[in-house]
Parts: sequence; C-alpha cells; structure tokens
Amino acid sequence: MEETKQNENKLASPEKQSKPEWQHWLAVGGILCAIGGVSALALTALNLVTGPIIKRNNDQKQLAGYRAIYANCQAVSDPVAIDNNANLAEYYQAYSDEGKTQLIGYIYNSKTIAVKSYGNIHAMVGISSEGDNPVLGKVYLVEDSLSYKNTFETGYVEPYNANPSDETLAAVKCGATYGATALNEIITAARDHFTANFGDSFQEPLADDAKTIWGEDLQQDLVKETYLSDHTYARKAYRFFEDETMIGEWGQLITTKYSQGSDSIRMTIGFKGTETNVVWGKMAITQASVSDADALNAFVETYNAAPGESAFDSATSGSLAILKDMALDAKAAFAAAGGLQSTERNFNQIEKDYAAVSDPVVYSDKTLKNDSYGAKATAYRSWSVYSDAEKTTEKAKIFKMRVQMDVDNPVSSDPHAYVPEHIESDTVYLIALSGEVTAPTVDGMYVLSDSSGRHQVITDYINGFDNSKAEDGVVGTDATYSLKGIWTGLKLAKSLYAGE
Amino acid sequence: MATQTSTRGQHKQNFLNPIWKANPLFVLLLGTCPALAVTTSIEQAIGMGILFTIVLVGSSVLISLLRKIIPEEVETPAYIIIIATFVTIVKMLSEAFVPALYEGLGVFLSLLVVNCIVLGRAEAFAKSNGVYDSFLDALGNSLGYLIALLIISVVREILGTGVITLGAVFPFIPKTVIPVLKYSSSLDFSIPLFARPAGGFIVYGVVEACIAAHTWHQKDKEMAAKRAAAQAAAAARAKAQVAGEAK
Repeated sequence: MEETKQNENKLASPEKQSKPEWQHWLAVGGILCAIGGVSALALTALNLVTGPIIKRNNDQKQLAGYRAIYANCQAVSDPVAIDNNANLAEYYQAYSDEGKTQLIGYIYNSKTIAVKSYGNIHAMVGISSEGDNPVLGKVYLVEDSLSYKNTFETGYVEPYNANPSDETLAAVKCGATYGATALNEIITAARDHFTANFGDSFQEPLADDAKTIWGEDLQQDLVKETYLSDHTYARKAYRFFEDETMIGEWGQLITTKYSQGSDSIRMTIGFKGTETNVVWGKMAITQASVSDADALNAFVETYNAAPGESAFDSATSGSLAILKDMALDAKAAFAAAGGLQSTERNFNQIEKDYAAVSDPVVYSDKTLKNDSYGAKATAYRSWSVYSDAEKTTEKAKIFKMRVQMDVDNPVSSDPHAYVPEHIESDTVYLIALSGEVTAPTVDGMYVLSDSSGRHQVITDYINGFDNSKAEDGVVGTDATYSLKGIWTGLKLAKSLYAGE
Repeated sequence: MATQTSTRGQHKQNFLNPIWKANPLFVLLLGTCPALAVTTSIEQAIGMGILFTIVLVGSSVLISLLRKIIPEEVETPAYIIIIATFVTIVKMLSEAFVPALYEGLGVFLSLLVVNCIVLGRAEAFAKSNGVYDSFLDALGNSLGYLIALLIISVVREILGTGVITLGAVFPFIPKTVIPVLKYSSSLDFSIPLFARPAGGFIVYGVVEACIAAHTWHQKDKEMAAKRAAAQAAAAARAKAQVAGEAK
C-alpha cells in the first residue's frame, strides 16, 4: 500500500517553525475557524432547504394526533400555556377549517406524568362544549411507556375512546389501575379547566340544596357528579350513594339552568324511583334573577309541600312556566339515565317473584377477616323480601356484602417465581338466604361490581352459585384466593342471618 | 508498468479488504453499539448503512483533501468538526425526507460523530493518503459495515418478528409484509427475543463464531499446505542428495 506520509507542508514543519510563534498560532486558529465557518455556512444553507420540510412533517404528525381526537380537525391555534396545573401543560383550539373560523373544541396537552415506577404517560385530551356544559372527547396518547401498556390501552383507553363518558372515565379498575387513574386525572383536570375558563363555572351549593331537598332523610353525602348532555336546561346529575361501596344509589339531584338576556334561574330538584316510575322530590332555587321572583318562590314553597308533576299544572305563565319546563327537562334527564340505580333493583336476579321489600337494616362495623387468604368481608345492609304485599310472609333475607383482598400469593405452583403474585381485589355482591337460621339455604348470589384480575371466573362462580358448591371446590379454579374471600363473606352473612 | 499494476492492486486492496478480511464490525469489532441497536429491521439497517456511507466517504475525502492544510495541533478537533458537519447534514436530510428512518435510528444517528470507524479511518488512513485511496478505503469500510448490518438484521427480523416488512421506513417502497415464520396469530414460529437487545447479542455472537471457525479452518489449510510444501522440498532435497551420492 502506498502510504504517502507527507507532512512536509504542515505548519509544524521545520521551515514553518521559523515563523514567529504568534503567527503560527494565529494561522492554526484561523484554519480551525475557517473550517468551522464553512461547516456553519453549509449547515445554514441546508437548513434553509430542509427546515420548512421538517416543520411540515412535524405539523402533519401533530395534526394526525389532533385528528385522532377530532376527525374533522384541519387546524389548531397556537398553544396557550396553563400555569400552576399538575397535569396540564397547554391547550389549543381546534378548528374544522384552515381559516380557523369554525371552532370544534379544545385540545388539552398534558404534562408527561410518571406513573409510580411503571413508566410515563403523556396524553392529549379533547373537550368540546354543548351550551355551557363540557363534553368529554377522545384521548390520544403521545407517549405510553408503561410496563403494562397493553392492559392499560385495551382495558381503559380503548373503551373510553369508544364512548367518552363519565362511566368509562370512572372505570379505572381495569387491571391497570394506576395508569388509568393518572389518565382519569388528566381528563378530569382538562374538563375542570374548560369549565372554569370557557364553560359555566357556577358551583351549586350542593350541601345546602341537598339539605333543603332531602331534609332529615339525607343518609349519606357520598356523591358522584355527572355532566348531562342533550338537554335544554339540565346541567349535572349528583348521584347520592347509600354507602362507601358507591354502588346502590339512594337519590339523585339534577341541577338546571335557564338564562335569557338578564333573566336567569338556577334550580336543583331531587328524584327517586325508576325510569318508568319517577318519584318527584323537592326543589331548591339556587339563584333567580327574574321580574316575578316572589311568585316563583311562592310556587316553590307550594310545590315542596307536595312534590309531584301535577303540582306544575298551575305553572302556565312567566317564570313559573319556565320552571315547569326546567323540571320536566330534569325528569327527562333522570329517566334517560335509567332512573335511580338502587341496590334493590338487582334483587330479582336472585329472588324471583317477591312482592315487597322491607326497609334496609344498616350495619356498622360488621366485618370478618380471613387472614390465611388476606380477605376482609364487610356487611353493609340487609333487606327482607316478602312473598306477599302485606309483608307478612318473609321469603328470604338479602345481604349486601363486600370482600376486599390485599395479599401476596406466594405462587406455590411455581417454585422458580421469586416475586409473589400480588392480589388486590374488591368485590361487592348480594347474597340471598332463606330457611332455617342455623342451616340457611343460599337462594343465590349476584355480583354488583368486581375489580379483580379474575373477573370472569369470579362473576361466573358467584352468579352461578348453588348449594351443591363446597368451599374446597374453589381450589384450582384459577381464582382460589378471591373465591376464598367470597366464602368469607358468605360465612359473615350466615352469622348475621342467625342473629349473631 | 509494474508500478501501475502494483498501484491498481493497492487500490483494489484498499476497497476490498474492509469488506471481508478487515470488516470493521465482524473482524475489527468496531461500531458494535449502533449495530446491535438498529438491526431490528432490514430497512432500518440499510438506512443506517447508507447514512453511514455518506458520513464516512464524505468526511474521509474532505479530510484527505485538507490533510496538508490542517495543522497537526488541531487535527482531532478539525476532524470532529468535519465529521459532525456530515452527521448533521445526514440528520437534516433524513429528518426531512425519511422521517421514519430518522425516528427509528434516534440517538444512534447523532452518535456517528464519535463512531470509532469514522474517526478511526480519518486518523489512520485519510490524513496520510490521497483522495482516491481515501475514497476507496471509506467506501470499502462503509460497504463492509452495511453488509454486516444487513446480515444481522435479516436474521433478527425474520426470527424476531416472523416476517419481513418493507415500506415501513422508506416512503418510496410500497408497504409489503412478507411472511416467513408467521402466517397468522395461531401459526407463528417467531421468537420475539431476537427483536430485543439480547437477540442482537446472540446473533452477533453466532456470526462471530462462524467467522472464527472459517478463519481457523483457513489457517489450518494454509498450515497443511505449508507443511506439504516443506515435506515436498525436503523430499526433493533428499532425492537430489541421493542422486549426487550415486554420481
């Protein structure tokens, strides 16, 4: 190989060294600067060519994200930074035309949220409006590096995107609870920001309204708030639950709003019953700015003395007619959502042909633990169901039970496993017992909610329960620990049935 | 005439040696980190090989051109500026025209600035050789690296995913999925391990073992040939001695 090792012309060569040293170093620095300068010029020129193409590529990529939220999105506004928010970084306005005249909604860009040690999520959330009410839109995951990514996306994100609603938003117990909860908080923060800045930020004095409407009957203040859509006046539904399981509604309050010019009325009304047999409750005027406010207040007082749809027969003019429309719209919203989702509505799943139900017996601190399987069973309430309307012949007793588990299964089946399987589950179910108090018959069991990882196995076992089943039979069902917990609940129900 | 033949032979050696006998990845074990990271798909490996070629050929030719101008006190900084310029150029071009490749290669594209093959050829060859020789040497090394990446990526993509996917990185290739080991979700013989870093190490190790076996086999053959030649020479000498004694 011809290696031309010629360094004779280099600056460090003997003849060059005869130059003054400062000249030498000046030349060295000059050459280095010249190389750097030429490089900079070349890169600048290339950047002039590629810069706009790169920007266009990035814009198209971002637009693809926006279109995953709003399919007809053509352009977005410049981002507006959101300060002092733990979840949100900025928001954009999304338009259906490139001229940015047709607003279709808002897109909230979250911060990158660390989900414990499982990874990060970064999402964009769509929130649009219907009147003053925020309407939940789809979610686009900009980043999802969770270690249980697939469970999170198929168990929570996909069902939510298929039907963005309060129900799918709340279903965080999907096998990826931490990630789902983090995304739930992002979406909720986006809706809160929208409500505070672009929607109706008015907050009803719920505690006062509930006291006015339910009075002494108010049993619990465990409430879930739901935004209503497709209604003229109805804004939100507040669902009151009978206990901390947050299953089994006790009553609902619907808030309504009327606004026309300087006139406005805000009214909250209570409902119970089913969608076909609505039971009207009292109402409360939270705010009224109308010329006939005195007549309005007088009417409400009359109505509250005997609540019912017929009480509106006399409301034919002025703000009374408006109030009637608001109340009927609230009733329609209550019925459209299926009425009150009470525990009692599930009794016919395990006790057929009963004619009447007693008032519930509410238990406090009735628990039974099974330390071997890390289960805690709690009894919340029980009802007697009767075969006659006069409530003389008791057919059975129905118990509302909850079993919570938090235990490390040592994975005895796998001797090489060094990390035990962690079982965390929460099952709420009904048990119907009848017959002898010392040896009752299980008429049936029914799942109200279950958040265990073996959901299907547990649901099938409970809903298909019969007296031929024995506790030992749960071994090898692929849900041994959880079903041992269910049996613990059954033992507690039997002891309560026996009057212990 | 003899000098011309020798020069042509040297040009040929400069070009061919790095492709096989002195392959930078398989023989010199240089540039292994990006090689393991980007060889999960064939298209990505080809893309990396092409960008690597542009950087290595461009920087080697330019360094060779400027070798008499660059003062030896600032040789390394000057080389790094030149190499970094070419790396930035290929980054900008790939981000603009092949964005999927740019995203796929990620940080390994930027890390070409400190790639030991690129800097090594500048220090070891381009700074002391002519432009044409430097061009051939850089092209040979680039082709050697590209072929090595291609071999690893073919094995990893087929074993790791069960299919060969085309058109996912280069927008001008129609998107095609060629099933090799995976025909449906139930008829899937792929081994996902090979798509992961551990799979890269395994494939690299197996290829290295094959090359070592081949090299030792060649050496054994050469030794056997030498021994046979020595024995033949000794026999000839003995024969000549016997003939001399007979005279």
